[in-house]
Amino acid sequence: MKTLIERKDAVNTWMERFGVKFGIYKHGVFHEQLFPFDSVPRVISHDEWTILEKGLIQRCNALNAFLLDIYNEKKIVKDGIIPEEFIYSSKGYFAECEGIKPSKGIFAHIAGIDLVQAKDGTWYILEDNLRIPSGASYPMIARNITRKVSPQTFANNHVAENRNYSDLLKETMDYVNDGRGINVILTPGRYNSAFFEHSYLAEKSGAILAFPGDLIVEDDMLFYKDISGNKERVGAVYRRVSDEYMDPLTFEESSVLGVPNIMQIYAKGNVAIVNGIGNGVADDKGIYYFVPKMIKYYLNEEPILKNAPTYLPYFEEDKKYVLENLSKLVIKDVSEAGGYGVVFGRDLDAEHLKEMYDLVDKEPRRWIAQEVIDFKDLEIIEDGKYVERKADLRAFVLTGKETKVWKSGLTRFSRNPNSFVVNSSQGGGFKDTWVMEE
Amino acid sequence: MNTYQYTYQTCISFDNKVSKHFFKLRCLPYRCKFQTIIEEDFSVSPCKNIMRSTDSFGNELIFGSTEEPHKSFTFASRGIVNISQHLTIEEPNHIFRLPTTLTEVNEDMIKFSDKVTSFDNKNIIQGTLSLVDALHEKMKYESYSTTTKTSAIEAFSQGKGVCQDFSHVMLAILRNKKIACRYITGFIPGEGESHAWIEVNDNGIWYAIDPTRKLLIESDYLKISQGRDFNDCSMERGVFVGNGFQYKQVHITMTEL
Amino acid sequence: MNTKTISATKADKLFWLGRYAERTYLSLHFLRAYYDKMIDGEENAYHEYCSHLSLDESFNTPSNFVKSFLYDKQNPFSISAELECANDNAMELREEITSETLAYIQISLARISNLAQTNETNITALQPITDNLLSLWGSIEERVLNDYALAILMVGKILEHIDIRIRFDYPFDRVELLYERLKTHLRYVPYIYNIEVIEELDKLLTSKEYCHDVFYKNKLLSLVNSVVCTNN
Repeated sequence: MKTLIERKDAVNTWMERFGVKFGIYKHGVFHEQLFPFDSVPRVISHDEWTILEKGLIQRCNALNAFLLDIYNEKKIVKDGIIPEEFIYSSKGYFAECEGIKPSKGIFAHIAGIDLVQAKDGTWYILEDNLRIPSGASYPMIARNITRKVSPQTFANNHVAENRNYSDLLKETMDYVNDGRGINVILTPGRYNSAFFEHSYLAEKSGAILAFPGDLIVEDDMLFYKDISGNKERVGAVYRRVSDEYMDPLTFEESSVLGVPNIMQIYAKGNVAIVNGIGNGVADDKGIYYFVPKMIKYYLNEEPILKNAPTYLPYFEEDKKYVLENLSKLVIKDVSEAGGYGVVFGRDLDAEHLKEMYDLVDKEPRRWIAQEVIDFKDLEIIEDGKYVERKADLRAFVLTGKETKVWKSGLTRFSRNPNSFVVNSSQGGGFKDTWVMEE
Repeated sequence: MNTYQYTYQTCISFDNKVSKHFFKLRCLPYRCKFQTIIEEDFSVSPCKNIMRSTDSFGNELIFGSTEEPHKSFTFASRGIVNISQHLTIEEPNHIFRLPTTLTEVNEDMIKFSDKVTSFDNKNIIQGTLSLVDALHEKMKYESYSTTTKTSAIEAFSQGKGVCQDFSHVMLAILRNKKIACRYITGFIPGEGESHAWIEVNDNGIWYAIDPTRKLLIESDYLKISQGRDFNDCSMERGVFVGNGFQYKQVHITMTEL
Repeated sequence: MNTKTISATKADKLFWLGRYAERTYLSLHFLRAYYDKMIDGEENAYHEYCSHLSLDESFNTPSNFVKSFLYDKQNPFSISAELECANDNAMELREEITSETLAYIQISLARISNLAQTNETNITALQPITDNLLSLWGSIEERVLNDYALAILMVGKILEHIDIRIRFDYPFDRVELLYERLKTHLRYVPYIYNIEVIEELDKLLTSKEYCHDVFYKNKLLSLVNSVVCTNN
């Protein structure tokens, strides 16, 4: 591993060569910047991984069962496990998806599950991302580069392959495509922050990268338009466009990023959309609280992985606790993502604490509160020295014929020593994640 | 039971030519127990790519696209329908109890409704009808006084509106009382434009009430679509390439046979 | 790729990638040639360069000229600006041309932005960019598996070269050679070009007609630039 670290500059030159960048808007202007990479990998032992893998598969199976249930029979609501207002007032719930049974019954094909490890070694689930989780391409390409730069490191360590993410992706797409046509990845375009990933995954999975306007609904099917006037049937769309922009005739009318009338043929089952529309109802920060209950309800199993201790001010008892302990909790706005809307009670002065108190008191449904987890920090190299920083792990779980966990993940770290926020949009960096084979 | 014949036509003209025109239309009778379709026909022009479907509320959809540049776009439907009393036995989906942006209430509306009646499980329909009567003292019907984007709060505050606004205000007030209710678009006998009313769920049965004409609907209304508010029921949605004004002309007839 | 389908969006990007990559390569070529003239004291050689490109520019010194044509992103004929345009198109073609091919543009961009920071005016420092562009075309030939995509790239490349040769008053046979080559590639992708324009060009681009007269040249250039039409 030493050589790998010494050859940091060579790694960065290769990163530049492959254009490993993400886009960011500063003062309304689009910039592309390199995603800072730290050569010290996060290492997960074989035994530890075996447990994580089981737990993640279990969680995603339950989440998929939940989505199918919510948009169809709603047994979990009728049986009183989740209060109905939690479902229907969620911003991620779309009435337009009622009654939809997607190809093979899968809604969440690609789940990005965010975890953190506490000092005592316990893993906690922080967040489920079932809409358009991004980040898998970065460890893939990092592995590609680090293997080139330091082959000996990989000869000496038996690290599970992770460059096969695109194969898993293809397998999943092929399964729900069901032989109907070609696979496409629909990108909002060059100025999306994750455009690098869209194009890289298209290249590696053999899908066509489709831009808005390339796809059209005709004869109850989806087609990719050829310049010569031919049309090729599309069987599966891995879309990287948000739900609200997917169909201007069903959702946001001003959207030019989507495909008009795709919802109609999706509802008819004539095209697979990866990930399904309306998944936001299951990765809502408020619904998160209920995931362990879902696991028991749908799978009749005990949850293998823990949620961070969470309180829902919606429930009177929890609200009382949250308001009394505001200064030691972390408060999250359920409607925000990307590290925004996260407030640590201990950082607030009396005035802001009071403000927060009133907000929670007035709109309890809008917030969740969690105990602060004592993170196990990871080492990174900064100016040639080892320092410790907060980090999380986004594991990718792909559901096709089987549910599989990609043997790697995106480890993001905060470059700011005082910050818990690891998101790339807020200046964080990333590491490769090594899952050991033995 | 009554038998009706209806005709419906909308013509949109554009200042300048538009192309890549995608549309979604809701202009066919709703399929339900109290409406039996005897005959049905429709046309969209200019268009070669026409498809049919139903949306998640069970509304009939006609959708498709026209690539070629055009300056006018017409769609029409006609048919014969047997209609009986507007009653549907069905447990309501919870979403019909939640306000939408068009059906939120304000303090004034709550005060107004509390003064008229207090709801309990036994008087939902009677209470709704008394509210409708009282609402007409607060709001008067005035053509062109609102747009399709006017919310219940705005219409109530300005004290005037059209059938869509009377319906939205009623939905807002009823939902505030946790009563399940939905927005309906359809036709009424005579000649003119489309009409809007509401359905209210009373212990598992949906009743249809017309807040504009202050009545409990029997079998002389033709239901086209249902949803949470106007947006779920819009008869026409379209996106296209091109700019310029569009003028829309709607003509509906409904006659008893 | 499991299909040879190319959308109108992609065809447009392929064509312009071909043009901008070639334009960058040729600009470097001419800048080296004119830089060489300036060594001998032909300090005003850059006026000639600008006039070939129909630019009404005034630079007080040759070094300002060089800086502008290398690094000034506001100058659409600068190497920086041309590379950016090539990159804008290439970025959207990753799965067609492969990451390895795209890398030649990425490293050229990284190089030019480093040089811009030090304001390096010795043109030989840009040799690696010329090398990268040659590698780019080698990589395209090796790695672009879709024949139609390859043909469109070549059409862009050759068309750009024809345009520049006309602007810089190359002799007829040098232009004709490329024109014939262009037509060979166009045959693979009949849906991207305008047959009437080719017919008109066939009449106008003959050894008899060919000259350096401004009116004739402008007519020729306007035809050359309307051969390809990708937005249908």
